[in-house]
Amino acid sequence: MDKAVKSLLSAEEHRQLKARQRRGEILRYVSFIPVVLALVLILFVFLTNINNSFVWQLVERGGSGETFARSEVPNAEAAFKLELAARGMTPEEIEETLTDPEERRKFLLRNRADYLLEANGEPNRVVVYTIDRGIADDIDKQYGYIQGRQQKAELEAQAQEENLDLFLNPLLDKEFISRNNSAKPQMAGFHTAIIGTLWVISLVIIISTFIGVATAIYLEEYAQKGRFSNFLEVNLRNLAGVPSIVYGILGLYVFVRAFNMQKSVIAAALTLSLLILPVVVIAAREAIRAVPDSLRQASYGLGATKWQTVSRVILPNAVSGIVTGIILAVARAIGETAPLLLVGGAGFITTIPGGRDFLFDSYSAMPLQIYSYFATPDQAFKEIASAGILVLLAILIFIYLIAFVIRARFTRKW
Amino acid sequence: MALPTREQLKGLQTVRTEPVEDNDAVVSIKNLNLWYGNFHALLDNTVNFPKGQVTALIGASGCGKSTLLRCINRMNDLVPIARIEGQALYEGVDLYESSIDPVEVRRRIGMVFQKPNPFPKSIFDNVAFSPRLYGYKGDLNALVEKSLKRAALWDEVKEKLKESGLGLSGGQQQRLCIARAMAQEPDVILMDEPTSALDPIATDKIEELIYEIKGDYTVIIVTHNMQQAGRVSDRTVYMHLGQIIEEGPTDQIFTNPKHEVTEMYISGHFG
Repeated sequence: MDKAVKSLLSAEEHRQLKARQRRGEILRYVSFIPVVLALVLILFVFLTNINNSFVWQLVERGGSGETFARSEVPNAEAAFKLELAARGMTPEEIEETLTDPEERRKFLLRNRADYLLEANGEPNRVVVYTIDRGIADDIDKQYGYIQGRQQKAELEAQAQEENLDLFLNPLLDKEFISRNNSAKPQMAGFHTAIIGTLWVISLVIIISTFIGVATAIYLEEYAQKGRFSNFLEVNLRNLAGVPSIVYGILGLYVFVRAFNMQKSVIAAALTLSLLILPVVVIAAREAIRAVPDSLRQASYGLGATKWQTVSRVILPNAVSGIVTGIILAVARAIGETAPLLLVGGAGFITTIPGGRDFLFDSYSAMPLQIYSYFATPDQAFKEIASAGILVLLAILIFIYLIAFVIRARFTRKW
Repeated sequence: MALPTREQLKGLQTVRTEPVEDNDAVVSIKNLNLWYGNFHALLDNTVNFPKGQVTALIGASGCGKSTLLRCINRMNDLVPIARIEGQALYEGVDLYESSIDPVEVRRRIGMVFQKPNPFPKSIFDNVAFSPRLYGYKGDLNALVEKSLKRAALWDEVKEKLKESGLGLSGGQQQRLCIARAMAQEPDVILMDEPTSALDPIATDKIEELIYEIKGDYTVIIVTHNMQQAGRVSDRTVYMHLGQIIEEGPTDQIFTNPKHEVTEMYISGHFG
């Protein structure tokens, strides 16, 4: 033992203390590892999806290679004229091709006018392509963002040499989130899915808030504490752990079939509400329970009725906890795919809810759309799905931010 | 001498010095028994509280003085396991009659708690809480000002009525609670150890306040602090193990206790 070490303890006790401190240090680092792991995983999810959505593509063009601004071509006929001119035909030949019934039939069978999403530096130019050549733009090769970035000079040289175009995934333009579903990757977007998700989630928030908060108030403030409330308590916690597919089956039998709601957005919202209700009720109960009893006493002592106490004292003071609970539960519901698959969410749909049958319209949702794009064999759809994941994550982050703001605003000091 | 047990106190006759006539009492407790589950917490208590005076309830911890206080505005109704027999009369009406709603009882009989418990709202909203509950028709601003003035808090808070009641000091918070109780314009104010969480200066202010409002209100105060009971109260009720042992004018109880248990408590042998 070093004599210079000053200690209030004996040498043996001092050594033991040092050992205890060391154990604490080790545990501190061990407990920090999961945090690091979680951060690394989140970062990995973001980066892979960014890398997969923003791919560099070498594209071989079909047709003449000419594209036409949308303003120049009011209809397909105009586009055909311009395309035929670009293929080197004289005006007479063009006239003949498009008017002679036989020639016209042959031409229309083999050629299509379509939009290109990005060409000559602007979106939505029109191209006419010949069907034998496959899709309008034949993607020759593609590279993930990082790889493409590294080899950019090389790729540009190759493009020059083989008369190809190099794009940073032209499918992800600014209209990506406002385009409908489509069988062609150029035309495919997430519009229906985003609107569908917003419909489902808004309904879920309304339904689960009303039922969940009412249940929590009843259980905490009105129900007699006893065997029955204990039984409910235990089962609520169990229900929160039931796999979502089970709720999907329940929704299928109860809402879709028994109540004959069919594949409607309301059936999906009810199913997802059932799924998150236990979590909402538990969170709301905890928040209500956290309101100090002294405030209840004060309220009753001032001549408030039970309902006045609940509405004027308990709920205003529990609102931060309740809202946080609801938002975290709703964030879970947004990502649920399994129950929606069972209650008939569409993987391919071009209409949004709120139309002819209002709440009974069919719908799609972000996770379903991502799933169905990934299941498509065409590689281009996988990039769209990856980009869809980024959009879904952005929506989630937005929702968490709302929760954060509400928490900060309504948090009370006692 | 050993303290008497529950058994020994059975059938005890309360020692009453200069008892209050039924006619002078605003609140009278008659043969009141209370059980928490199987525990018999109040045994056959009878006592009158005179109008416009301050009555102190004293006794060792767990003797049932707070329970007795809470019987007067039916706060014990909120305890599911509590069961009450006997009568508590307010102006001759039994508060426990089936036609009486506990909410109207608490409207007439205000309460101030042990720990200051203002709502996490503005000072104004705190005082206006009760009038708003029953849809007060008059000038709410005037009522709030009057109540805060009576609670001797107006000068300290008149500039910041919109600020949170929780921003006040402990003593100010307690006076805010008193103002809040006054805003429902009760006749009786029950105080359950109102100064036990406060420092001596804040305590002093509350005691002064109680002295001020005496006459306008009937105050029943539970206290652990015997000097406080001596300073603020006109009459004192001494309780032991759920029974009222002795009651009478404060100076009599403190200088000339008749029952030996009271004497032991007053002289600080236990409690």
